[in-house]
Amino acid sequence: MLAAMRLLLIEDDTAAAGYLRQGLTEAGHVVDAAHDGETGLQLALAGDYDVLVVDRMLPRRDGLAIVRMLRADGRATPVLLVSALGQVDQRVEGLRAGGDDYLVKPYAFSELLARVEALGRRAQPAPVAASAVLRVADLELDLEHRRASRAGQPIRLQPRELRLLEYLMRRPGRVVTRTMLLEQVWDLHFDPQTNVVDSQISRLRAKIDRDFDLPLLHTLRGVGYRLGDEA
Amino acid sequence: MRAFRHLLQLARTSALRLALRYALLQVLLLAVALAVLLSLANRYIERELEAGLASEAAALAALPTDTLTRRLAALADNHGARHYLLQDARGVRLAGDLVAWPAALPLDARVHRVDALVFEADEPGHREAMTLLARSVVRPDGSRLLVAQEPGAAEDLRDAVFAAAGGVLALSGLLSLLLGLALGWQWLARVEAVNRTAGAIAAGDLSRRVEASGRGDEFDLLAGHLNRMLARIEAAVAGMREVSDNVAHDLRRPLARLKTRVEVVLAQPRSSAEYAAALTDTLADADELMRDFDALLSITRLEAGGEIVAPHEFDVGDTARAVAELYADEALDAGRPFDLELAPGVRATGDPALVGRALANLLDNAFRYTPDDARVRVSLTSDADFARLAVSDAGPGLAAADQARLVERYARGDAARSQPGSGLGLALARAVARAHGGALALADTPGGGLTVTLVLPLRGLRTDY
Repeated sequence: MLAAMRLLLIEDDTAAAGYLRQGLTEAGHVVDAAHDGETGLQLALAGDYDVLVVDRMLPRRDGLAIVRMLRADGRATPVLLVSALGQVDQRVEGLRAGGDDYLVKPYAFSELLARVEALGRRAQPAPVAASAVLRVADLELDLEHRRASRAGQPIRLQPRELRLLEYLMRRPGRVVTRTMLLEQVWDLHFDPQTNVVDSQISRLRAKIDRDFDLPLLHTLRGVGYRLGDEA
Repeated sequence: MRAFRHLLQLARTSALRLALRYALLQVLLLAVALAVLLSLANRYIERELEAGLASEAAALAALPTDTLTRRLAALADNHGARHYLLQDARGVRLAGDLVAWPAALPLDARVHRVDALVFEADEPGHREAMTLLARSVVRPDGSRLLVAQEPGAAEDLRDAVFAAAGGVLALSGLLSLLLGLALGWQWLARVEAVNRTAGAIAAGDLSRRVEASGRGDEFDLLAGHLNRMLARIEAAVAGMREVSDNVAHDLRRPLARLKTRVEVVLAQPRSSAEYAAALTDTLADADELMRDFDALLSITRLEAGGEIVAPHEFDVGDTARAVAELYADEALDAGRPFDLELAPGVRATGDPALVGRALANLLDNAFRYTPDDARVRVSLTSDADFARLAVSDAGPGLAAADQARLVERYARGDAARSQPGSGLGLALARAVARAHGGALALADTPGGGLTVTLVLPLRGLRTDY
């Protein structure tokens, strides 16, 4: 289903790097790893990677410097910054330096994988992005008129539900995590740790799936959610 | 055995060691003083002796020879401690009880210690060797007179002084030792009191306290500090016990359910689809357990005074608005009036994520425990000292007794007990408020319902606990 991606992992914690590399390889990707900033930058400049996973604090050259140098060199390769520094301004600093996403340690592997795959897809030109109507199976979302319908029947959605559905429909078949939804849909950079996200998803699912045989919105327990016509 | 151990302990007390050290020092000083005294006494005795010998020698030497000879014979018979010898100029013995002139005695006017043979007065022909202090005089006719004294008397005196000095030394050493023992005993008794308390506490009785003597000394000071520490620990342990009780209470049921499900599934062979479904359900249970567990841990850490790692200033209204957004659609769907009344520019210091979490929990409760059409209002106000972030609902409300009890960790209103939910929300909100130096307040909403207010101080975190 997913095309294999070439990933570069720049992480000085060799144990963590080994674990990440194994996980990403098992997910079907080709992974190179560097354990210091200088080596990482050289590899990033020399290789043709789909996504870089860069630890923010690295020996010899820190993660933000790597991203700045890549951007200065005209490379648009998506970068997922990983850091123990998780305050809003630190996150903003990371994104300003040219990072495409920012993940705070400690994180679940599924979270990192989902974000890496989301970034990989973003890098490819998305044909749907240009269109005013998003389609997944028989579900349609008219971006211009903010209207949703399934098999021609209109679905009544609330404003934030529209935003949530749009986010999911732009990533058909992809896993999105709770945290990704909180950040991207609600602009919330912490987990309220109630089941409010689950209940949002439940209500959206009720609206788009209840009257139809083929479920589109799936919950992947412990991982996240996925919109698509594959079970 | 017990007494012996006590003695051993006593021997190890620092008071005893200190006392022993002082005793040793005192004995040394005393010994030096006595040695000086003794040497002075010695010199005095010798000088007296010399003077005695000199005056007798001079008096005897001045006598005519025949008188002198008679006198010496008389003196030799009276068993005195003095001995004499008179020789003529050629060295012929004329009188006295000394057998011969000691070879080692120089002919000067000073006292010398010499070995000599003395005739014994009672047993003629018998001689006795003794060490004598001797002084010689040469008379005008060339004859020589020797007057000698047995040193016994002087040495007896010296021995007496020695004995006295030894006695004084021994007595002072003993006194110091006794003083040290007494001090050590006293210390030990005070320390023993602390030890007994510590032992009882180690055995599990955290309510014990060290008794102070009321003298206000360093032991009382120590007891005071220990007791304050113990009170703190007891409170912390009570908190921990409450948490573990609650964990046992609320986590055991879902864990049992999870276990039963797994057992049922494993009881007979099933299709992989069935296994997958069972695993999915199990994962859902585990998720829920984990969330409750995380909440419990957060509460405990917050109440232990931790968790707000890097407090910084943030806009409370922004955080409140972002969290409220999560509930807006649900309110719209349910036809529930949902109002935001947020004063702008209210800034507090702390962790916005925690405040957001607290608010989310309060909103969860408001949405869950009130009818769908009951109004929910989020309001933010501030005065000079505090920001007040309140969630008011127009639900059934709570009895005053329940309001007080509800702030307790885990407590749930009777109405809520039958409904799902861990009941940790209010406890978490309270812990967040307290960690920020604020408080959680419950009150009736005017016109009916419950209002829960998160009170946050505007002047930053409390640091005095």
